[in-house]
Amino acid sequence: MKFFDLCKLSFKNLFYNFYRSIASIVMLTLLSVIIIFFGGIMKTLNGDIQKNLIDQTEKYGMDMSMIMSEKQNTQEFIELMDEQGLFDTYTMSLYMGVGAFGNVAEAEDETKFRLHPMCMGKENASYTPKLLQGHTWSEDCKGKKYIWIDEETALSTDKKVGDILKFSFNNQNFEYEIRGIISSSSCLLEYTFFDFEGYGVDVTLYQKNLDKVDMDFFKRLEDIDKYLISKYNLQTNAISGSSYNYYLSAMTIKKWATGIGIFLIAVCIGCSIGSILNTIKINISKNNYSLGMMRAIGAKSSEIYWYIVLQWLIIIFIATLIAGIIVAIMTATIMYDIMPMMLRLIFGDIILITTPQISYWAILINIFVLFATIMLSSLVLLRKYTQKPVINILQGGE
Amino acid sequence: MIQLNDVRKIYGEGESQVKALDGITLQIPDGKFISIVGKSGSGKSTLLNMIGALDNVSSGTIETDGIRIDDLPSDKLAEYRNKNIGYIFQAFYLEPQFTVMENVEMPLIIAGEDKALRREKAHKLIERLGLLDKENKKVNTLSGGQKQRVSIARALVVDPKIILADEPTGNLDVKNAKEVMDLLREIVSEGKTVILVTHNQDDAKKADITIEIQDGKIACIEER
Ligand SMILES: Nc1ncnc2c1ncn2[C@@H]1O[C@H](COP(=O)(O)OP(=O)(O)OP(=O)(O)O)[C@@H](O)[C@H]1O
Ligand SMILES: [Mg+2]
Repeated sequence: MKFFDLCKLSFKNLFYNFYRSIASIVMLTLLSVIIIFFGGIMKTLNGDIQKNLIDQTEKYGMDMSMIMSEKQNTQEFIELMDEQGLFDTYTMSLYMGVGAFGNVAEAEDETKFRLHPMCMGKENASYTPKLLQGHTWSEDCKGKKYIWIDEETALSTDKKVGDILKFSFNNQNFEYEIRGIISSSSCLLEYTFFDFEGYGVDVTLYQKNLDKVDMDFFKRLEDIDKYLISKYNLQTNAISGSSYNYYLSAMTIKKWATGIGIFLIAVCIGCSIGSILNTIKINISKNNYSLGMMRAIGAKSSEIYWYIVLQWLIIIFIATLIAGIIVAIMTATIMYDIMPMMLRLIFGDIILITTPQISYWAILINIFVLFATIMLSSLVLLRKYTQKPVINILQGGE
Repeated sequence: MIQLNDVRKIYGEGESQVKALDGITLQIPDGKFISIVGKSGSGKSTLLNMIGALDNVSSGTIETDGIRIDDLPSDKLAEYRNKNIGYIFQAFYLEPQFTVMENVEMPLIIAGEDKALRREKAHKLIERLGLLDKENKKVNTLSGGQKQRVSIARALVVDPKIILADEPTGNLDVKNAKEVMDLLREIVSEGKTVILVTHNQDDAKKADITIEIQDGKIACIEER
């Protein structure tokens, strides 16, 4: 049989069995819309989070402070970061034990205080507040339950140096001796409590090249000190913290969007595969005398295979085309409003400027998965089928 | 010439085994009208399907013009069927959504014939079978007699040497049945071999040779 004639025959059969074809096209179109739609959302978020992150970083800088575990050697950490060429310069403060630390630049909400159970470092960076009473940190403070608090807190709670500060956090009770009082004028403190057995490193990092800030950047930090991020991830906060906070929120969104997207896409692909398999099965058995007749009058098994596959390829092509157009229209119109709405609904307030996009990958993957399903399932189903004596196919017997 | 040698066909296994054909040895000369008769379930259709290479033998050999068709690979067999055999079935087995022309030209499409040529051949046959006004109508709009004529046209379109007809008049009224029988006779007179399976004694008697099958065996062969 000439291939051109085979194509024509497939198309004719598809066209003549109009309602059956339309049913398959509608079904695959719906599933493809979901696949392409979520592909687009994932692409949009991925691209935009990265873009937004760069914007944010340019605005607020890339400084961050990290609290490291005892297991991490600070010098080594710095060297590794140097080696990777992540930063041009850095300043570093070291805190050990328990202490208070704050940052004027970032404390926008004066009612919130963060108390870091850390001790003022010996190598003070520009952020270290002025000591008013008591002692600065020294080597012998290491491991002792000392705390430094700010003047305002001291006055409002009527505490002085040498008093015991009791509090509980995460169902744990803590008792610290107030070792020093620091100036509130140079720092507004946010108090959060957590058990801390390691030491903190405040590394102010100035990034070499802002263009290169991306998700990868944080991953590379994690690679340098896995222990740091995995154990003290939450405690890690930026001094000029917007970038890092932004990163965390963005990562949450991305994780959720990717998770939901992958889940839905997987479900849809599953549905597509299932329904294609089912329809092919039905088509083959319903169509059996027509396929059997083709065999009887001389069609080879490969020709029967292509006869079926070509019909499906046309269906897939049409379905994907329609789905692509639908998603393109959605993306160009309602998505601009829906996307921020959805993000706000799920994640609360976050500044994420999104430009809805179409994922060409999703379209390709959709086509590819459907094609592969058709090719393989037809191969398997028809192989069994065409090995039967023609008369059995004609009469629909086993 | 078609030569069958000790052809057996066994369906099923063990207790439920059915010997549909039980050692058939037979020679069918070219250009003759052959009818196969017998009780229901005697194995007539099975025999016809063996000759038409629609089913495989359990044992024995079948040769047409010196070619063993019982052990040809399936694609070679498809080609053999396409070139040498025309089938006419009781149930027509037409593509209902396709037009008369599209159904008739189907074997030619499969044979890879050019469009102009195959249209011409199909058109001639459609005309001969009196279906000219239905040429571009869908088959599912035709009557039973018309459908059977379409299937005969399709069987003849590649100009095969052998025409196999399994109770072609089974679904037709007397008038249409007679027309089909006349057509088969006419086909034989053009030098083709026609093998007809039938329950109708009168039809069977119109053949040159009548083979009676009983329990998968040849009971008698009657030549006229
Ligand atoms: N696919 C099959 N599986 C099992 N048994 C079969 C099959 N096809 C035919 N048979 C059996 O083989 C025997 C011969 O069947 P066949 O169809 O050749 O009879 P027939 O002479 O054509 O009968 P009828 O006049 O009713 O058409 C029957 O006993 C039938 O039950
Ligand atoms: Mg029969």
